Amino acid sequence: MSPIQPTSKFQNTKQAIIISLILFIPFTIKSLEPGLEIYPAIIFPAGASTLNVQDEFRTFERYEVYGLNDSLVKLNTQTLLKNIPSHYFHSVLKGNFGLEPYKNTFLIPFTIKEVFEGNNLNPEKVKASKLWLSTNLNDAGYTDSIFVLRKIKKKYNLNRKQIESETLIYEKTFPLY
Amino acid sequence: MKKLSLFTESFFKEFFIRITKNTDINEKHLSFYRVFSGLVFLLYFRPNYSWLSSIPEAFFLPKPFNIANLFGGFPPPIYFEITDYVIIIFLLATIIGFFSRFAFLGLFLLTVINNGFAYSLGKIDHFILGSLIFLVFAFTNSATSFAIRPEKKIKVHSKTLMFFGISIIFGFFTAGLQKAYHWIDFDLTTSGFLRWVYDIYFSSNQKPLLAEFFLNANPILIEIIDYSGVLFELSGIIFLLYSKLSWRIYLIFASFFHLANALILNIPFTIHFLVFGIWLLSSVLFRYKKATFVFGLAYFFRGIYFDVYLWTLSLAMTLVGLFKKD
Repeated sequence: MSPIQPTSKFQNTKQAIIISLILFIPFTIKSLEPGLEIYPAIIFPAGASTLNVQDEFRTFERYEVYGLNDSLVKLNTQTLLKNIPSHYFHSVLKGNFGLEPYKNTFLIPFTIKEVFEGNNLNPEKVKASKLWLSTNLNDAGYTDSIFVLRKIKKKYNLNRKQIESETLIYEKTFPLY
Repeated sequence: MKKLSLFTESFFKEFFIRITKNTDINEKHLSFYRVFSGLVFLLYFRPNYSWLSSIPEAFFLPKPFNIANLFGGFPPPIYFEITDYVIIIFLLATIIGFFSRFAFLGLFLLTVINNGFAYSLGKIDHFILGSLIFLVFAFTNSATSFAIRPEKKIKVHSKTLMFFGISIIFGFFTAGLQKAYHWIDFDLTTSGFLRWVYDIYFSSNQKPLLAEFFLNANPILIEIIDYSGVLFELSGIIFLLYSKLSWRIYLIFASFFHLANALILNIPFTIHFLVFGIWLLSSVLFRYKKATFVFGLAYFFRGIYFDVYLWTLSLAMTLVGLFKKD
């Protein structure tokens, strides 16, 4: 028998360690800081929050976009964002539709290193965003010079399954030229 | 220390042997399934990225650890147009079995990178298994039959399926662990499931087909649903380790889970029927090859009915496979 152990002797342990690192490191980082989610990684969506089912009312805050066509008209998000699937609306909104700077800083867990998320705008990029958005509005038959973003609080009556009230809590007009 | 090392090694050896045994698939069945899934991808789930070609550069807002950061921005518009054509060519190659392994690797890389660009709009979707399945086909003997240029057999066939099985249960585990912390609260006045139902029911233009039945459901039933969801998502490892049959039963639960989500929440994740199908459908479709045409009828369904049809059909075929033995 050779005095030197074959290198493959602990191959199953090594394999387990490698698999664990590949799977758990991204998951741990996302659990500690969702903004630092790694892609690609094997992570499924959680959606773990709860609500009080005894409440008669449920309040939601919703962002809506409006175009001008004689008066303000609520738009389907894909009218404004054309090919971008609607479930990306909130992330595009976070980046201010490519019209205004956005930057966020994250601290990497267990380190003092910071990383940034931002849209790194310059005048050319803003100009291209304005042109794209105004073209989309124009194609849909709306005035191509502005659109309006509104944040609306909606109160639903859960028993009657209908909207009880709507309150405008924020409004911003985006000029496009 | 040495004893502990040897114990750990023998533990993991048994662990991997069991999972390998429970996830193994006959190569001929998998080869036929390669053709079937290639057709389904081409007809219904073709990865398509040309919509990204017109997006302004200022919309490039990837999370800090998104692979797209390596490129510093969206590539030129022509890139997405070309890769859409390349994806079609690769899918056709995998269907007819011509340089399949190369084509599958190409599909994996293109979908991972291009999805990275799509997620650069600021949100990561969680369709990673839809890319990983290409890698699984590449590193198994999925193109050794039913191919005009059969690939040489490779030794990692079973190991690849084992890794994929572990990936699936880990994916569900990541979703279930956070839910467990909030949803298992022994409090009938709160619910995680109903939070999903209410949010989607009241905010979407298209109401989910069955959501209304749950809006005022019995709190005990709702609490049971909360706990069942968590239990299902966290328990995959037990089913994966126990036996071949229990692993299939877990995937049947997973299919019901997705079908229920499609009906109640309009969240279908239908691409997963192809992922689970490696174990649930490959044998039964091999046995009843003509039955594959029933999947073609999905072409006539639109919206959520399309997803419900495919999940229901997949479950029906699975049950036929389980109970009808040669």
